[in-house]
Amino acid sequence: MQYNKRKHLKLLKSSPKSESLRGRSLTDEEFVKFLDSRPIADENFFELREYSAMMISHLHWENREHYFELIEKLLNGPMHFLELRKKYQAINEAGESLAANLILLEPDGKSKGFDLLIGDLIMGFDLYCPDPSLRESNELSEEELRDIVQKIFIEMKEGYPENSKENV
Amino acid sequence: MTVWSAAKHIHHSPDFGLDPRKYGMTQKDLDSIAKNGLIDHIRDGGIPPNNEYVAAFQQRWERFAEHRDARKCGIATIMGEQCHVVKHDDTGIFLAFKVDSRESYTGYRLSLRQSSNHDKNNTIGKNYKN
Repeated sequence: MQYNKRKHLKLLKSSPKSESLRGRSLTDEEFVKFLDSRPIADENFFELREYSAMMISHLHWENREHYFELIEKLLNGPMHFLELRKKYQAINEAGESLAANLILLEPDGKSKGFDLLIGDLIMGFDLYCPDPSLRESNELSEEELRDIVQKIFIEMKEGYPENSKENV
Repeated sequence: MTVWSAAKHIHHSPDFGLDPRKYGMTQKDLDSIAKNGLIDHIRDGGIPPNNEYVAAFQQRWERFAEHRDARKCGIATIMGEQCHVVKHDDTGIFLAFKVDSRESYTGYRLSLRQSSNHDKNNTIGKNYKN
């Protein structure tokens, strides 16, 4: 699918704004009411989601050099991944906020798929269980997590090189 | 959803509209659980989630799974694990339950890309283990 800025803008203008529950404190009843109030996803929703996801992937990709630094730090030191997780979350939120305010960026085709790799990395952190006595079969030891981080890092470096003369 | 599963995933509770401050915790405590795991967080002197918080999170997952617009998406592969997935398309909130044990696996708000990729390829997160 090709990014279409005009269509993205049109869909944003005609669709209800997306809402996150982070930072809110809802009772069960309010939570159910919130879900009740949200529109049922239709064709327009899926197309809009795709355009917005492309734009957010571009934002992650533009930050790749910082991501690479943080991942290198992880691979060469302790498994302190909070900064990475927060960066990922902040960029997702910033992208959604830009779109909500109708501020659109034309995504670079080279950014396609970068966000999925970062997303996989964050999911890997979620499966990390340092204590072997509590670790479930699907969870990861530090060694396994390092191996996954390394694999994702290689994919990133190969698929999304840092800025160099030929990329500028 | 067991108490243990709810407690160790408590850092995802804000995605379900639960505010840690209501239960005597802060976002910093949740960050510490996300980073260190629940046990190491407690061993390091961190505040554990109280019973009320864990019960509220269990209940919230249940309310979500039972909601009319939470779509039962069938079995998907989540980081290599076969799971039953329930997802709310508009918000991207999802829950996953392991196929073999039927135990809760995880649940939070997916990014737009992750949610779209799930619809297209029936996976959430690639399997890097093999």
